[in-house]
Amino acid sequence: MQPFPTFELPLAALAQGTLYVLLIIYVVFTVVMYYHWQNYSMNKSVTAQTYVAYFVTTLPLIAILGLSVVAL
Amino acid sequence: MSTTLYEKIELESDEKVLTTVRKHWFIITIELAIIVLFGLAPTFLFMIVLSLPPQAVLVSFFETGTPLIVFAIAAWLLLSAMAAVTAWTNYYLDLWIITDRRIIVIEQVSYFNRKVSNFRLERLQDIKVTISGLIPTLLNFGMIRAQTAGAAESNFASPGLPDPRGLQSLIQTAMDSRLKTIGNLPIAPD
Repeated sequence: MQPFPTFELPLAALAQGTLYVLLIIYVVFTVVMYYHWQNYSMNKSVTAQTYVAYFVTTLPLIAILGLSVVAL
Repeated sequence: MSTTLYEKIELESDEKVLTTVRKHWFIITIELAIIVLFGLAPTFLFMIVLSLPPQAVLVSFFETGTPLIVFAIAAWLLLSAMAAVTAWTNYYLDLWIITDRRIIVIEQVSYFNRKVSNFRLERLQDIKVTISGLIPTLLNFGMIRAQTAGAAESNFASPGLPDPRGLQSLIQTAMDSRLKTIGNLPIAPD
C-alpha cells in the first residue's frame, strides 16, 4: 500500500501574502477613515485624539506583523 | 448674516442652535466592549491552550510556530482595531442638531452611507418617545419618532438617544414657540 503523499505548507509565503493583503486593506481603510473625519467631524480635538488612538494602536501591530513574517 | 454649521448647512440669520445630541454613551460602550472581547478571544484561547497539560503535538507546534501564532494574533487584533474605529466613527459622526427653527438629523450609517435630513419645526405633527427594556429605562435612553406633515418618507426615527423625554419636551417647546412666531409675523404684501 502506497503511503499518503505528504507536502509542506509554504507558511512563510502564505504569511507574506496575507501581510500584503492586510497592508492594502489597512491603507484603504485609513484613507477612508481619514476622509470621513476630515470632512464630517465638528471637533478638531476629537478628530486628533481619534487619529492618535488609531495610529498608536495599529502601527505597532503592523510592525509585529512585519517582524513575525521575517521570523518565519 | 448666516452662519455655516455642520455639513455646510447654512443657519438663518437669527437661528439659534438649542442643542446637539449624539446617541447614548451606553450604545458605543457596548459596541466597543463586544469588539474588544472578540479581539482578545484568540489571546485567551492561546492562554487556555498553554495552561493545558503539554501534549507532544502542541509542544512541537509552539516550538516551531511561535512567529505564526504571533502573526495570526496581531492580524486579528489589527482587524479588531479597525472594527472599533468604524464603530466609533459611526457613533461620533451621527448627530441631531435642534435649532429654534428645525431639526437636522445626520445619520452616519456606515462609511460612504450618510444621510442628512432637515425638518422644519412648523411641519412637525407628532413626536413619539419609546423607552423599551430594563437598561434603556435605567439609563434613560430610547427612540424618538417624529411625524411631519408631508410624505411618509419624511418621517424620521432615531434609536438610542439620551433623555428622550427631555428632548421631546425641548422640541415641543421650540415647536410651539416657532408656531407662535410664525402666527405673529406680518403677511408680506404681494
